[in-house]
Amino acid sequence: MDLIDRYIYAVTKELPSKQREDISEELRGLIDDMLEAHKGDQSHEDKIRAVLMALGNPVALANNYKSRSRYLIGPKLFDSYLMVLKIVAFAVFIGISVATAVGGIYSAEENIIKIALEYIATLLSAVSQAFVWVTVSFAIAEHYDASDVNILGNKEEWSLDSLPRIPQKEARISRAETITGIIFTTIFVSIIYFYPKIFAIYSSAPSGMKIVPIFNLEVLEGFKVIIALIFLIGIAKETVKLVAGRWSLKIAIITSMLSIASLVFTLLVFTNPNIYNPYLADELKGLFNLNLSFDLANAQYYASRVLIIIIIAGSLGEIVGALYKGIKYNNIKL
Amino acid sequence: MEDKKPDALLESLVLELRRGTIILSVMSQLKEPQYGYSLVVLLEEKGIAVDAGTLYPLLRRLESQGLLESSWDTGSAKPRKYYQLSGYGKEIYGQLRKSWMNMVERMNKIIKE
Repeated sequence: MDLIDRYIYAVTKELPSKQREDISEELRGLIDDMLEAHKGDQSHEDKIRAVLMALGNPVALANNYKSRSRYLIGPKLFDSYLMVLKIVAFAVFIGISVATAVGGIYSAEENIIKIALEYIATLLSAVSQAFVWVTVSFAIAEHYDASDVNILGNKEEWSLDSLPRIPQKEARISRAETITGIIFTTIFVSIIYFYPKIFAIYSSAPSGMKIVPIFNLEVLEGFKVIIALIFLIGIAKETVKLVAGRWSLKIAIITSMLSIASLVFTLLVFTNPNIYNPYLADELKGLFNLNLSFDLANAQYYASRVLIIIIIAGSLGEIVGALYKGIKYNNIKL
Repeated sequence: MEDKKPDALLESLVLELRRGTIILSVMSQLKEPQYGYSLVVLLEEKGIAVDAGTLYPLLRRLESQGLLESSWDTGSAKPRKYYQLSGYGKEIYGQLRKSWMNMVERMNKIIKE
C-alpha cells in the first residue's frame, strides 16, 4: 500500500489543491482495477510494482494533468531574451572594464594582481547580477503575457484591414539604436552600481595623485536597489522597442510611461543632497589652494542643479520624440 | 496497430497521427457512462490501445471543456468516477464524427491516386 500512496503523492503533489483529492481517488481506483486485471501468480507486492511501472513516470503523468504551460520564458519571448542577455552581458563587460581601467590608472593601488582580482570578482558579480535582473524582468513579462502580440495591439479577430502597413523607413525603430541604448544604460548603471568611486575629480599634487570622490559612497550604497530598478526599467523600455520594431502610439505611450518612471527614480537618487560627498567643496579648495571670489559650496549646489536639469531635459526630449513619432506613424488602430 | 519497425521517425509520425484520433475514439464510447479503467479495457478490446496515463487526464480535460459529465458512484465497494457525454458533447461528437468521415474519404482518395 505504501508504494501506491507514494506513487499517487508523486503524481498529485504539484497539482492544484482543489483537484488533488479527486485525482488521487480516481488514480487509486485505477491502480486497484489494474491490480485486479493483472494475471499471474506473483506476490501482491510484485503486482503492485508491475502495475505502477506500467503507469509510468509519475512526473509525466502529472504533466498530462497540468494544462498550463510550465516555463519561465516562453518561445515567444525567448529570442528577445537571449538577445538582450547577450547585449547586457557585453555592456556590463565593457562598463566594468572601462571603470577598472580608469580606476586603475588613477588608483593609488600599485599591486596589479590585486587590481586584477578585484576586476574579475566585480565582473563575475556584475555579470551574474545582470543575468538575474534580465531573467527576472523577462519572467515577469512572460507571467503577464506581455508578449509581442499584446504589446503590439489587439487580441481581437484579425482581419485583412488590421494588417499593419509596412512601416515607412522613419517609423522603424532601428535595432542598432535600441542596442546602443541598452549598452549605454548598462555601462552607466554598472559603473555607478559597482564602481561609483571612479566618479571623482582627479588631480596630481606634489604628494601624489589626489582623488576627490563626487559621491558619498556609503549613502549611494543604500540607493542600489533603486539604481537596479532604473536599470530594469531602462532594459524593459528598450526591449519593448526591440520587440515592437516600429513606432506606434501604443509603443510611444508605453515607452514614455517607462521613461517617466525611470526619471522619477533617477531624480529620487540625484536630488538627494546626501549622496554627494559632503567634503567635496572643502577638499577641492584645499587641493587647488583656491582663493575664489565665489563660494565653492554654492557652485557645487548649482552643479547638481544643472545635472538634474540635464537629466530632466534628456528624459523630456526622449518622451516628446517618442510621442511625436508614435502619433505621426500610428497607422494601425489601437 | 502494433508497428514494431525500429524506425524512430516513422514511429513518431504514426504516434502523431494517432494522437488526433484519441478524442474521437474516447467520445465514441461514452454514450453510456464508463469509468476510466472500463474505458481502457473497452478501447483495447476494439483494437485502440490508449494508456491510462493519457486517458485519465484527457477525461478530465474533456469534462472541463463541457463535453463530458462525471459522477462518483460511491454505492459499490470501490468508489468510481463515471464519465458520459453531456448534451453539448453529444452534439459536438456528431459533428466531429461527420468531419472524420469526410476526412477519411478524402484522405483515402488522395492516397490512392
